[in-house]
Amino acid sequence: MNGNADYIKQETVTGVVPMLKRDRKYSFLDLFLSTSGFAIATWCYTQGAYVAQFLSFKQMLINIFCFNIVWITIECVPVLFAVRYGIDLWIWLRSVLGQKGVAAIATIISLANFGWYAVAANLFSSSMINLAGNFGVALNPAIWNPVLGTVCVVLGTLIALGGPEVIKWTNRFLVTALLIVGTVVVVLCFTAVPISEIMAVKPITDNGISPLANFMLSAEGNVAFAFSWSTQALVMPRLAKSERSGYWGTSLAYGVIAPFFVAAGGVMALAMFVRTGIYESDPTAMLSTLCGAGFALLSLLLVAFANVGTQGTGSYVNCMIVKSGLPKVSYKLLVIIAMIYVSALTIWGGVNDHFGAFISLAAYLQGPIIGMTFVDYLFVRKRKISLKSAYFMKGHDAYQYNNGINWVGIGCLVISFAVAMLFVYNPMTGEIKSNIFLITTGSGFTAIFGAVLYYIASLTPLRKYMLRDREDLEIV
Amino acid sequence: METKEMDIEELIYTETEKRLQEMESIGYDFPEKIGRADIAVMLVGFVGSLILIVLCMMGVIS
Repeated sequence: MNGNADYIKQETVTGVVPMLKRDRKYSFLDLFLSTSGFAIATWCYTQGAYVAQFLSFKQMLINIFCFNIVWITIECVPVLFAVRYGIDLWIWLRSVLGQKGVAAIATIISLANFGWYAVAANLFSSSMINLAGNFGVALNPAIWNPVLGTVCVVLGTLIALGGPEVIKWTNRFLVTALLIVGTVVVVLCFTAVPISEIMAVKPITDNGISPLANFMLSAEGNVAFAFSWSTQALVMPRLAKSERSGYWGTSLAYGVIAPFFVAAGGVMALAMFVRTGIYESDPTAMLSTLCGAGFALLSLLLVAFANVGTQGTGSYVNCMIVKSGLPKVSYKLLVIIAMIYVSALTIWGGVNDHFGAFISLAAYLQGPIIGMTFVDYLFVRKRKISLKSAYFMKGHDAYQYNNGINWVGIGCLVISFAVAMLFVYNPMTGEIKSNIFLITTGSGFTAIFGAVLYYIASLTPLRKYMLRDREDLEIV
Repeated sequence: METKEMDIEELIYTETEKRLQEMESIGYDFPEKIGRADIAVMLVGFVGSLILIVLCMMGVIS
């Protein structure tokens, strides 16, 4: 009996069973710190250093913060439903994509999401090798890159195996330290290099691209960055005690804290450019050049702890996403499989080599889901779904559609992806194919187009197919 | 193995059903809703950010 009770407890916290109000353990601060711990990783600096090259200082800050705030505000609206019913986004998505549609898309997106953690592990290992070099210890990258990267993944896996309580306590200390160090780093940069010189750096404009195109190409990276949280963002809010703590704990972490570290990376890259003429994105190299080798130890916090924390929370969140599609598979087994998969990606190193194309491609899959979820939640289903159908209770089959697939939702996703790739912007080649890109970006287009297609479908005779749950709304 | 899997499936089903019934009951207290002030702050952040983006796109902020 105790075994069953323990299993139910485990399935509530690390599974898909709805979480009742009395089970909730996360205050605003807990959710904010855990989500921030997930969001802060070395890729923030990579992103910031990239944007810093093509924009003025003011435009860089606006590009980083404003695109993130706009899209995170939209993405996080369904957090309200996640908190209310104690379930995650992927349960809601059974109504938009169908039971098997969710299982397939959740698995594909998680396989893509895990690429981020391989990037974090690769950045961890290269920074650690640089740090060792600063102290006279030469490590052969061919050997130590895969070894240290795998160590990062394994440490993160240990946190993930502990579940939300371990993640909560780890991040309480970790994120507080990271925020302090991040602020110190920005102050150090402005002290090492006069702010007037940082603000006077001229963006690269001789690459044959107009200033608007430069601004929107930088925005593409930031929109893709914002989208990367989307499918993962609505897993943890089910642990929150109120809609307010759920919404702000999530949106401030992704919309303000993560961009703050991107901006810190941009400021460091600009300061490095003033000092050395090179835009650098490795925080260890930046800190040792700007402030001396001793300060590079700060990057131990920025790189080591941030990346390990991200591995832990990311593994929990993505395994929960897969579990929503495959509920019978054990959480621990999924975490172990994820560890092997991310370690293999880390040792391969291919995701890191094609970072920009990778994040945009992943965003092209997530964009239509963001758009459809927003429209479905507010305008089509109007904040009401059949929870009994979403959980496949006997006699409630509104979301079975055609053999478990809602072809309207899947169709909108596929069409949006294909149209953006063929006619708007190809992230694999970096080719702008239409002026629409200069208004929406490529990733932004997938979300807007997916939302519009889905809404138009709901105005046609397909409405009856999409809204077969209207007679089954018992919990509202 | 198959029996164990069936047991787990049944366990999850029964627990989910029990929890949904509890949510359906009149006495169930849902988490506190978000307020109008929160929505106002969301809108201000959203619109303010959009305005700054448009000003950059138009070259007003360079």
